[in-house]
Amino acid sequence: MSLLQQDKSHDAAPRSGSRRMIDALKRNGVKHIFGYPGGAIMPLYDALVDSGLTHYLCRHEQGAAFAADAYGRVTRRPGVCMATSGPGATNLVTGIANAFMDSVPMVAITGQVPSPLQGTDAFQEVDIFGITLPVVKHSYVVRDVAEIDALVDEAFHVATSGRPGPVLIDFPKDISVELSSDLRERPLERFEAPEPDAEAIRAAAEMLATARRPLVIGGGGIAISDSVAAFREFVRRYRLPVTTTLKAMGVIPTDEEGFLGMLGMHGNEAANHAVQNCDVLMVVGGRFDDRVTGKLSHFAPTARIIHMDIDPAEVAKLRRPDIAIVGELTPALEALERHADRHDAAPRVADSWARQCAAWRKEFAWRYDAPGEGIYAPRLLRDLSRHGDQPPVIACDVGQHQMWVAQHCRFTDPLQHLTSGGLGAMGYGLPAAIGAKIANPDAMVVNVSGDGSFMMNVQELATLKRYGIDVRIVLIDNSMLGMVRQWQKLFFDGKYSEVDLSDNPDFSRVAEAFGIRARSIGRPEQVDDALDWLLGPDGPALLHVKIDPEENVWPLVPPGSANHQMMGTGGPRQFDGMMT
Amino acid sequence: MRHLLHIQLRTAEGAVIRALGLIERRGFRIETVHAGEAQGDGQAMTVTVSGERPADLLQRQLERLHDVLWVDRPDEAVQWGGQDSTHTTTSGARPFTSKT
Ligand SMILES: Cc1ncc(C[n+]2csc(CCOP(=O)(O)OP(=O)(O)O)c2C)c(N)n1
Repeated sequence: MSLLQQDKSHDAAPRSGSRRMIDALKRNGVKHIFGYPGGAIMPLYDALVDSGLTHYLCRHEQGAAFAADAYGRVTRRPGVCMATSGPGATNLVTGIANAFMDSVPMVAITGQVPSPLQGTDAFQEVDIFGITLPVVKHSYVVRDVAEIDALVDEAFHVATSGRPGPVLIDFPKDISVELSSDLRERPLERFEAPEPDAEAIRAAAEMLATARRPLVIGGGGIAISDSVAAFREFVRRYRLPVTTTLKAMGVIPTDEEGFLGMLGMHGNEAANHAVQNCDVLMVVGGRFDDRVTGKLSHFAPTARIIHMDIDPAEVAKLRRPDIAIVGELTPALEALERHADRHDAAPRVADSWARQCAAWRKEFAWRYDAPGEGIYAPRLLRDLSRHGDQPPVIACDVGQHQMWVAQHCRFTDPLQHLTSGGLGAMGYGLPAAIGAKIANPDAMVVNVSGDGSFMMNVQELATLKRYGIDVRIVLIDNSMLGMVRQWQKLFFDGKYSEVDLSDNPDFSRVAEAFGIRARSIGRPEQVDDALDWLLGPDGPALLHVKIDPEENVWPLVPPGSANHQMMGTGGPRQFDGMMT
Repeated sequence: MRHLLHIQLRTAEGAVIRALGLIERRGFRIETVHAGEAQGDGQAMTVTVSGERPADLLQRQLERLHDVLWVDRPDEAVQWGGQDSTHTTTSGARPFTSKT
């Protein structure tokens, strides 16, 4: 007999599986759900009525999953999405994969055909459990109404503990309607993060104390683990130069002196040169993604590596560290400081290195004096993020505009920047902005999109309208699949294949048809006024910005090249130690 | 390189296939599999795999799965990133870590 069958006890009154599911969600703190109904999940939608939970009907299940993803990023609690079996479930998959790649807590609930019909190719039956196996942190098929309570508790624990991720619960219809008062316990093994290993802390502290050219890469794990304060304290205290990955923009304010910008394929040259020349590289909550490292064997060639992460499976996956510190980031950073204090061994930054980093930072500061008559998108995005006292929360789509946001927008907190980093999923931005606004109603939330990406979840304008969700939209329209066009230009001899979008719909009229006010601009002198209009007091709006179709994102590390081999730049730089 | 893995699983729907799927997806070929009878809560599985990537990394990736209780590689001493072919450090320092 399995452990699971041992502790059957009884609940007071019989409840249906659906009722139990709703009650369990509420017990786990859920207030908002994003979803779309259908046959197999109708009992759950029935139980939703008068449940006290607020459900947002997105207009495509992918929109629901992306909204739940952003909600999870902002709240650090699982965003919940649900859909019916078959096509509803498959429509969730991209959103689940997105959450998996970016380590976002999520609980996705799918209706399933009744258990006796499973495996018979029943109407709207798909094996969503099987389809999603490689893109979930964990998943369940509910097999017994008595175990729902415990199973949902476990799902929430798994989704949020350690390295967060999406958890799928597939819910057969017969179980969702079954009435029962049985309760079955599941032994819940709580994940406990390991204490930072004392020997690793000592070794890392010594390595930093003997460094001359140290550098820190902030990664996405800092925001996920709520370690921003500890991270800032650590790098500020020792005046360590810092660069970040795409997902970590804002872990220190982007205006701060020690910040060299984002690194990697579209990173700032200052950051990439610093990585290529540092002698000790401390990676905090990052995973050496190929867009970050460029050609791996040439990445940080002179550096010894300290890698901090909660996930032991990230250690030595791509670059073998000299020291790995596995555990929660905040205690690890604090332990490093304590060790440095006690042993009078503070991390050292040679004066010449500090000056060199500052000089690179100055030399490669972004410039906005672009030639051309039209609106320069990087400048507009810079101005957008400096419009109010606080930078807005920006939910991006994917493409050139996404890289411009990362390069040019001001961030004072990583949660101001929501982007599909690992998956790079076009269509993320608008539903993500919806999820972010619901999670944080006081924030100004802006979706920055491209004309390609926007069309991938344009239906969510109806969600905005129906619920009066105050999201502002900047649609950067280059009449192209810009990022793909840029690669075709650079790496496929300029032969354009299926990137032309010059027959785009009139986006202002599209927005207006959904009841969202809209404006179109195309000249630089219109920008200031348009931003005032967009970010003013009047609620949801779309600003359609026409730009030059041939604009490129610079600099760029060509695929397969090392990070110092950037195009659109002044060439590689070497630290010669002579900076005085 | 061939590696022998003992994998202790929770008795749970999908546990076996999840572990085997991960092995292939992470770059190893499955040479032999023996899954024992599920006993109460647990099920033991013995797998031989071949591949060029480091087996200790595969072990940690397996151990990350919720249904995997532990993994043992009886033939190999546990080491960190031992066969990383992408980069050799100049320091020769052995990386330290704490394991979950
Ligand atoms: C769902 C999806 N399909 C395809 C791609 C490949 N892709 C990456 S960027 C891009 C072009 C994006 O065009 P747009 O949204 O207009 O942004 P732009 O690059 O022009 O700023 C494409 C097709 C993707 N990332 N996601």
